[in-house]
Amino acid sequence: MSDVRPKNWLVESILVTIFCCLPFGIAAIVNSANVNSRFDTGDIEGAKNASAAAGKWTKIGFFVGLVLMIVYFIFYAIVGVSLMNDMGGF
Amino acid sequence: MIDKIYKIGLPLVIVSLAALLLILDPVTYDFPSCLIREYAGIYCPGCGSQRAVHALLNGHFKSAFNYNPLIYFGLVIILYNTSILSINRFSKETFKNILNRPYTPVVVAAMIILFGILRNIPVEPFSFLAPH
Repeated sequence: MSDVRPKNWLVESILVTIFCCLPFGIAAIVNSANVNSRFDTGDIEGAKNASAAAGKWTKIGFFVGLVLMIVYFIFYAIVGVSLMNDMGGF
Repeated sequence: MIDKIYKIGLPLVIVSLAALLLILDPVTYDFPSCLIREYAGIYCPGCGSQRAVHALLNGHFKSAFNYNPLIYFGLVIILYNTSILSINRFSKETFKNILNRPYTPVVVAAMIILFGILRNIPVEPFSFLAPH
């Protein structure tokens, strides 16, 4: 058991669940549970796969949240500017 | 290369989001509303976390708790993980990280989901858990 424990992404996936996207966050947490249990039973390869999956879902959640926010702000800026123009500008 | 982008970009993104939330109040300013709240009409476990971060950054700890108590849970987890990792790195100790135990993620996920269910029950005392 000299292998290094693969990153389980638990902290990151909890943060994604709370601050962004519940479904992706939960998918990540489930995978981080797999990292822990597989590593403890000696399934290093399986733990590595679960770690990769946990990381994938965490990143998807983070970027979906980020992109939604950016898109929303751009949309709001455009709507805001056109509203101001309709009202005759400043 | 990708690693470098992450190491520099991620803190940058997080700091700028925090700065945005420090200045703008999600209650009065039209921040992106969560799609789950918008279309399903329910409070998910993360509901109120933007307002909570805004309140927290401005020193309103009680109000942050009322919007979403889970952000304190998040803070505790970050603190715990950072301290145990640094203690193990800089001393000869090797404390076991509870986050590496097989049942921790399961318990955490169950807790978060239970919290999400309870805060949608519009009766005292559960309604206290809804963002307010």
